[in-house]
Amino acid sequence: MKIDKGLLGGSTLLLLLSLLAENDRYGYEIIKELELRSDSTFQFKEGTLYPVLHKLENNGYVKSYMAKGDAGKERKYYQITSKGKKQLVEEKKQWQIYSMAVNKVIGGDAHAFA
Amino acid sequence: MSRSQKIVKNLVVFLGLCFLFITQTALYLTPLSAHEHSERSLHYGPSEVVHVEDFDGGKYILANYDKWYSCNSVERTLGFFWRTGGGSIGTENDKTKAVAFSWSASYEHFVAYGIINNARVKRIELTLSNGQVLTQTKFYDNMFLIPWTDNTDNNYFGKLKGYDASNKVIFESELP
Amino acid sequence: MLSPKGDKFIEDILSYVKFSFDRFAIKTELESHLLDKIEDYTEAGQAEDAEESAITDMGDAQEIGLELNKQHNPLVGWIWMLTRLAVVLLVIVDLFFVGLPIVTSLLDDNPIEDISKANIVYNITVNKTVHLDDTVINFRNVIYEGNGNLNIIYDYYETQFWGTGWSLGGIGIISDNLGNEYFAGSGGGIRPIVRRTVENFSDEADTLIIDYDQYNRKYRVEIPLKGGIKNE
Repeated sequence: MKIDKGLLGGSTLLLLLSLLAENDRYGYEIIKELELRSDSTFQFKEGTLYPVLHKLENNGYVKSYMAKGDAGKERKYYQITSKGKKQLVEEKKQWQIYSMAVNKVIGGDAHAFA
Repeated sequence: MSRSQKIVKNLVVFLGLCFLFITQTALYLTPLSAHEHSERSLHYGPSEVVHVEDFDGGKYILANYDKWYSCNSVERTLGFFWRTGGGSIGTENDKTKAVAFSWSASYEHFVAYGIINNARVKRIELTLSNGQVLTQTKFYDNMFLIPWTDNTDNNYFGKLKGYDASNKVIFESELP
Repeated sequence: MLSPKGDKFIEDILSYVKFSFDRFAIKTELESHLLDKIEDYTEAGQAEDAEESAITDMGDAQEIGLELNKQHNPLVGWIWMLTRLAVVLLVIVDLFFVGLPIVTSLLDDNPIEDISKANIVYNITVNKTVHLDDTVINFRNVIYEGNGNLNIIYDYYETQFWGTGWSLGGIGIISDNLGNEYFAGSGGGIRPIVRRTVENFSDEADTLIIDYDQYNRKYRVEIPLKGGIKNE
């Protein structure tokens, strides 16, 4: 699956599916979580997240539903599907291969990304 | 569920509902299957189909079953389905008669049909009430079927005659 | 609530989404994002240009709109709407042509209740089942009334799934052990429980005979009656 490379530098699918595998989340929540955990490493235009989420939904990796969150505001939540979970396993595997290869090239020894 | 999955799901549900509609409202995909179900629901047959003849909007099915003969009709409906038409059942073949026959009407569609018991009969001649004469010389096994249409409401069955090879009247009747 | 500027930003995005039926959902989602973001800016003490900043953080309306349009394919959208409409219509059609007849037949009164209790001389429970092709006929009761009416109560159903076809509703020739034959009376229809009334049934007869013999289908049901009960 091709994901907008611009959004999160090639690992968009891995990151989004990982976050959704933990919890059902709405768009802005995903952005805040990404910012928090990555110490604002990932900088992107927030609006471009939505076409990506809608694409994940079209591909059957996630499904969405409307629900009221903590503050009683109705929001569109995204939930990972079983197809999405399978894809996440695949993405993690590929990421490990990729990062190991990069590490080998730049540092000689393989300190695989944990 | 993604939108394309929803489409697939909708199509499956749609087909299921179609199936329910078709089966429960007695629609059939072929004329013969409509005919067979019609006979069974009328506790008649299954008959042996001798001849199928088209008429405007449907088909006549000339058949016999044991000692009975029948001309059922099936009609086209909703574009590509068939349903039972008149729901005709058998008339017993009276073998003492040279020609055993019956006739029926459904709206403007009329049909006379029967069995030729006397092999000498080579030609069937049907006179309608307005004087029009219809003949048949090629039979289906030993059965005949003569359809006609009438919108004028005064052109029904008149008289049926059976001729032999030398044009001699062997059978004549105004009543089936 | 967003200011006209925020609204215009969202409208700009939506103007690129060709499948108009999805616009409302997208609008709601983007609006709630902007409102959340504004709230966060306000809490951080930047109330003044909160909305301005939130919009800037979103990015370019055209870029977002074009990308969203790719994910909201009008063709898929229309096919989805059409299949949904087709299902809804067919559900209605099926309810009308399939469901309604079933419901009316279930709600139909038991015709036994139409017979005035005061007139009943005797009521025999029969429970005899016969088969005619795919039709199962179950004779339930025979009720004899003081005025000479003999009521035969039966139900019937089809075992085949395909089609309902025709029903002549005939149950056979009705006679008694004395050799009297009776006109089968009224009855039939699409009701699952049928009452057939035979008038002037002999009160001397001690057996009711229902004889079906048409087109090589046969059954014969003999039901013992409490004949002569009036004379005793």
